Amino acid sequence: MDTVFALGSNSGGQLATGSLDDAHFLTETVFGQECSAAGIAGDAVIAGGGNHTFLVRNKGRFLFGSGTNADGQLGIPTASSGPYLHWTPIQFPGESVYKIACGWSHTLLLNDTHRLFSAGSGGFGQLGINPEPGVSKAMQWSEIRIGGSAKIVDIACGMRHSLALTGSGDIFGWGANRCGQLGVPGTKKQPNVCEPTLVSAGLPPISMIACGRSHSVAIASDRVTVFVAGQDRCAQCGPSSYDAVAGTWRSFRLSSPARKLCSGWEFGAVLLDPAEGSQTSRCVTMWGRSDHGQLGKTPMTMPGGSRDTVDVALESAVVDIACGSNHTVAVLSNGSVWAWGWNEHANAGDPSLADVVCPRQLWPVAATVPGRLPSVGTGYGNTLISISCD
Amino acid sequence: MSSFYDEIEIEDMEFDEDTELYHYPCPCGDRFEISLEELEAGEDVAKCPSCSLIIRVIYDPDEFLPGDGEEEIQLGTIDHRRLKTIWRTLLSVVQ
Repeated sequence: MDTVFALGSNSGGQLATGSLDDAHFLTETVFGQECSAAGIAGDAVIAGGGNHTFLVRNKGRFLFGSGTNADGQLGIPTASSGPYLHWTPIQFPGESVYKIACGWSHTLLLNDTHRLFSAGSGGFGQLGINPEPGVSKAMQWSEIRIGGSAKIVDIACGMRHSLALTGSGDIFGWGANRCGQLGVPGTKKQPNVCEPTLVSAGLPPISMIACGRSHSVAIASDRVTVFVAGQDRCAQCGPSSYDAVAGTWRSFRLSSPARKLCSGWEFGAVLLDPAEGSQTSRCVTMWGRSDHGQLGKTPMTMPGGSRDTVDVALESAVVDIACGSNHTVAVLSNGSVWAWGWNEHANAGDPSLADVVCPRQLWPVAATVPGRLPSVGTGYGNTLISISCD
Repeated sequence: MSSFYDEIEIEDMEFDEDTELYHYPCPCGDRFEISLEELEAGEDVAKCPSCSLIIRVIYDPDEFLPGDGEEEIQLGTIDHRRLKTIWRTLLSVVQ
């Protein structure tokens, strides 16, 4: 049996807990009666945006959503804006979901045949579907056509922009670009890019992508070269040189190879493999905004953020990470789950609502023996954990 | 503690014609908001109803002069705001 627990902000019902109240303690999420038994167990992938959350189950065959559908971001083709207060089955084109990513109020869905769809708000071009004049949202999954025969293998959403990565390492981007977050210069006159556009020309092949609020991050296939583009007011572009290497992309290098890349609104997080020959285990390194403990350190030590990367101290090897708008969650190899950062809605697990400036254990809450490793996911101000109790 | 989460230009905020509120996403999922009336009064702090975070709104006070709309055949205020919305929509369509 698997149980999904939620924590944090719930202004749109995105916690699927059956209410609109914030969850200050791990609270069990609820499946609607129309959910099949087969769909509510098994492996889980969780992704969330501003006020909506998705749960993908059983190798992508089952998709559930909760929260608001006001702009169609849940892909539920109905006039009802919700909120959906419990997990609701969601239909999608294809047999299974390969990847899903959420912006503030839009969603990208990549299916098993690598066809890409979007739903939700499109006022900044973030749907990539060239909406009809006056249409600023899509209430159902709409297919995004990306030039040529490019096979999309990964997707990422910023607050109002979108990125797609091809199998050959190119990035296509669309949506808000006022800060140059798409990697191509933006202008005040033309602040949005509405059609999927190749934005990585001049960069080496890319293997990982992530989006912050108004910036983007990419890691090359060498797994150590990082490219960043867009807003840099809080040092979210890290230790990159100020000179662009291509378009608006700037670059810096990691100390050891990246395994996973995540981004908060104004900070970056990378799960690092140990450097060759090193005795250390997988760890998390971060950079950027730090005023609410986003980097797992007391803000006083880094006023205004850290341009240099800083490692987060955790008690054993890290196997997975996820970033909310201003907090981060990590799963360790011993089955425990930790969180740190902004915590005003207890999204980092401290019911006192004080910022969590030093990683705090969320799970297990008591001495229990976990089964399969927990899966974690985040929305902007919340955290979800899927626990296997087999 | 009460420092601004960010400074946001009014062009990056969305205007709700019904409530006459400008709003911008808050990291918590709710939205920072400031009313047209507040802008006309020279206020520049947009607040989130669900948390303590606030942003400073960057705007040109001359574009939000209070009360003189009616005598200027409403070109000064209301139509100007509408134009902005229409302009933004047009831009995203044309591209």
